[in-house]
Amino acid sequence: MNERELNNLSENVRKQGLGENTMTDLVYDPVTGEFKQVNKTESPAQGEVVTRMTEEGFALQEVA
Amino acid sequence: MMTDDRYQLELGVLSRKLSPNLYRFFDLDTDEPYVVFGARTNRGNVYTLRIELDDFPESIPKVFVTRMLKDKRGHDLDSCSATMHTLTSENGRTRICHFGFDSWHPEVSIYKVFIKSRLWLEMYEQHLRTGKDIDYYLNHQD
Repeated sequence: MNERELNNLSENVRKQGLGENTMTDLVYDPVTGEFKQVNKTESPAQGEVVTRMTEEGFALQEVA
Repeated sequence: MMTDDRYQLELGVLSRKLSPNLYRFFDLDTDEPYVVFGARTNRGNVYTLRIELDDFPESIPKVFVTRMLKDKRGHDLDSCSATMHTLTSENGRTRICHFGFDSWHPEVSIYKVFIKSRLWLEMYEQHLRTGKDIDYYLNHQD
């Protein structure tokens, strides 16, 4: 994955976290260990869609 | 304390989704069990994640990168930071803030905690490139 693709992936993660509609899903490929983007109209050949985890956001407060 | 039934469930999920050489449980018969994951980012850098399970699944597990990371300005990521999604470090390890109290529930799997932590690592490396805080990329929970 080149720099342009990495930047694109990161920006899409941001958009998905903000609830914006994107044309792609975020997929985690356990074989390569990489995240990739797959068009929403396609099923990933390998890996699992994890977009929902992005949309749920990350924690804000201190936890014990 | 994680029951044996819960451990078997977690193991079943992890074995279906990840290569067995990517994770290993330690000290399960003690009060301080934990699991370690190897995580390789899209840029090819390798990190080790330590997820502490002493009160899992009732409480949010602590997640550490097993070394102290630095931000783009060269400062240790060792304190609680909303913008970087980190908590106070322990034992020289950067601690990732992945779930909040309001969103945690005992059904959350270790696999999901790993995926969120792996995504944090990806955005951490993007922060190193762009200088934008991690919360630019990873939204806060409501």
